[in-house]
Amino acid sequence: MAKTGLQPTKDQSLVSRASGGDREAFGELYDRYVTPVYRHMYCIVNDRQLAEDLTAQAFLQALQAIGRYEERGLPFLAWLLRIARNLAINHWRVQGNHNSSRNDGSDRASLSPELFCEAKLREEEVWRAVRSLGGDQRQVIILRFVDGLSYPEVAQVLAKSIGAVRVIQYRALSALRRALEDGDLGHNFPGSGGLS
Amino acid sequence: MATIFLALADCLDALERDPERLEAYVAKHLEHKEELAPLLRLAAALGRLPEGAVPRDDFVRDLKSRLLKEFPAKTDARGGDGQ
Repeated sequence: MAKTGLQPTKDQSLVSRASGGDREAFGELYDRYVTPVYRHMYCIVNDRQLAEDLTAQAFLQALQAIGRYEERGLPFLAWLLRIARNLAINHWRVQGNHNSSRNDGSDRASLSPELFCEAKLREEEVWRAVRSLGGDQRQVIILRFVDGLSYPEVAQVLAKSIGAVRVIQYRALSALRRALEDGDLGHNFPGSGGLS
Repeated sequence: MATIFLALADCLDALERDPERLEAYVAKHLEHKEELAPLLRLAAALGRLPEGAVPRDDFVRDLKSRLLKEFPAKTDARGGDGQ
């Protein structure tokens, strides 16, 4: 699981300084969170250019709104990811495509053939299945396994209870398992072995 | 008896803390073992990020430069937010 980790105390100090016009403080927040925000976007849209566009929009919105951010139990990264989530939803709404992937596999096409080993293709299959999940299920998988947020943090981003997040997580993993089984990968996806 | 939701959450926490002891944690939830095992293997696979999930260096650099250039003009206590 990716480890982003939330660092509320340091963040709060940087946010206060940035709100007061300290450019370096905003730069430090950017350095800290540009990778997790981009990674989150990429895992949702599966398109490098689009992930970059949406990441830029998220930080521009954060720049405009940082004076209004108040922690109130919502860590700064969770706030950024909430902006990112809203941008992604708006994007799909405009595109009329809630099923993601305007460019599924375009990045793959630019790689040399030898990189397409069997294991890599299976990983691609897993992520393709993630992107086929419904909104909340996909969000929970990405927030938990890509962004490394805890259950309370995911609950804050999605405005749901911790119990609901656990249920969504179970349903999402079960749906992924079914999708992969249907897609001929079920008993052989990456990470198999060990437990039986 | 824990629900499958809690059992899965418990095992995922264990996977995060100490992957070597995962089987011991699964053994705590024998009634769900058959269902938990494939879900945990899948969760382990999700820990490996897809190609392209790391931002390009020039994108990171250029966006920072753009944001810092816009910083004084854009920061506005009345702006919209994500909350």
